[in-house]
Amino acid sequence: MNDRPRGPLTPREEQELMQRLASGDDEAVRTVYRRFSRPVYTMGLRMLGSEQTAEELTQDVFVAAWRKAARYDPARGRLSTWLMAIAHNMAVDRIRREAARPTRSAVPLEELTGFGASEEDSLLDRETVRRALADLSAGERKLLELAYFRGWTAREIAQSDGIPLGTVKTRIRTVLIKLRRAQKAEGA
Amino acid sequence: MDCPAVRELLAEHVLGTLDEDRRRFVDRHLDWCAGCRKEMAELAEGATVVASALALAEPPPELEDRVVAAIVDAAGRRERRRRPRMGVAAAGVAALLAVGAFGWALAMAGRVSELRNAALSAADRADQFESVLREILMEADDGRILSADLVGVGGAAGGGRGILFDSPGGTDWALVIAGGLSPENGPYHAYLTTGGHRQRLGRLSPSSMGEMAAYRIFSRDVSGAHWVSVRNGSGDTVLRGIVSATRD
Repeated sequence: MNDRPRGPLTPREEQELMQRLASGDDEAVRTVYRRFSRPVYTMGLRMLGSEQTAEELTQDVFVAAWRKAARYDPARGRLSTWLMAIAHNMAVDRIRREAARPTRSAVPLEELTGFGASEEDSLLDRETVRRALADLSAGERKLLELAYFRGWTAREIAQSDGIPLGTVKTRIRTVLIKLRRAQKAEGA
Repeated sequence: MDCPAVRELLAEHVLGTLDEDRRRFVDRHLDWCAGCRKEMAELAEGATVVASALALAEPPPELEDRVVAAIVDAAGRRERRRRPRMGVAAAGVAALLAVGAFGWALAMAGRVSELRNAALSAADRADQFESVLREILMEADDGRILSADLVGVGGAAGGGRGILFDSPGGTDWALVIAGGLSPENGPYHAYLTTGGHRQRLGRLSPSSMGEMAAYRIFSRDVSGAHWVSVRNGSGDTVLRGIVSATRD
């Protein structure tokens, strides 16, 4: 792998980078790719289950990022959040439309941070993430597994678990807010 | 739609599990509602924490060059598409208005080879065709064009475009124009994937200047199509693109 850019970008730098990406600037494409290809590829592996589909997702995500780059607004959130939202939505789309099923066994959420993976390129501090996830109940972790990694709708989860749809919606929202607060509190 | 109703959907929107109609509904609200945008951004940050929990894997080194090539190539095509070409577009619009969009589209699909002077590549040719169609549909306020930029898969050469016409009357069609494919690896076939179902559009027939084209008329709705792909004679996917309603 070529040299990866180091350190977080300021919102202004992120916007400038996206403007260059929108124009198809070769170096800007490489810069964005080197910053985010590992988390995007990893998400593809985890959600779609094979190297080939993860590669396809990675290519699709960066092409989509180029297409949408001119509309990127730093006031709406960080570049990492924006890009990973694109990656996640495309992965869920693929799961739902192609009825894709992971070929490798799913990794339980509680084990995700236990791989001893490099801190390098991690979107957030891994210790912060580990603590945030550790604060979740078993039910909340299961909810994330189904809703985030398997792309189940709230209705599907409600039917599977035999609980009211409104309750599932509230729980999903609550767990996302909880994770965000935990991450902000650590970073403060 | 009011803010409480939108906020009830935001978490599912962040997770990408809303259906298309609700997704558009929420997006339209977010365009003007700063309060809901803020809530959406906060939920998205929560989702990023989940993404960050994954132990990072290394993509294959050659993927970087493939991604860069796909984007630089598509950006070049978009740039050429934006250049003025009033003569061709105006003539096309006049012809389309004369015979009706659908009939003209079929005529054009069968006469791809006659466009040889209109563009430099298969993708340019398809882009130009699509531009004329969009102008016509804008005039007629009828039907919808979906398209897919086709890029090489697994480092395969070639490119092109898939154009789908979603007719309000129910007779839809799809046209695929591809170029840069080696004849010796053919025959090539184009496919449309909807949900988990892949449907063959047809065999790509050579037309002018080395590009190939295939089209098919459907009696069913193509608006749910997700992928357009092209496979070589061995059945390997060589070109692929995501169907989108928006055009850059």
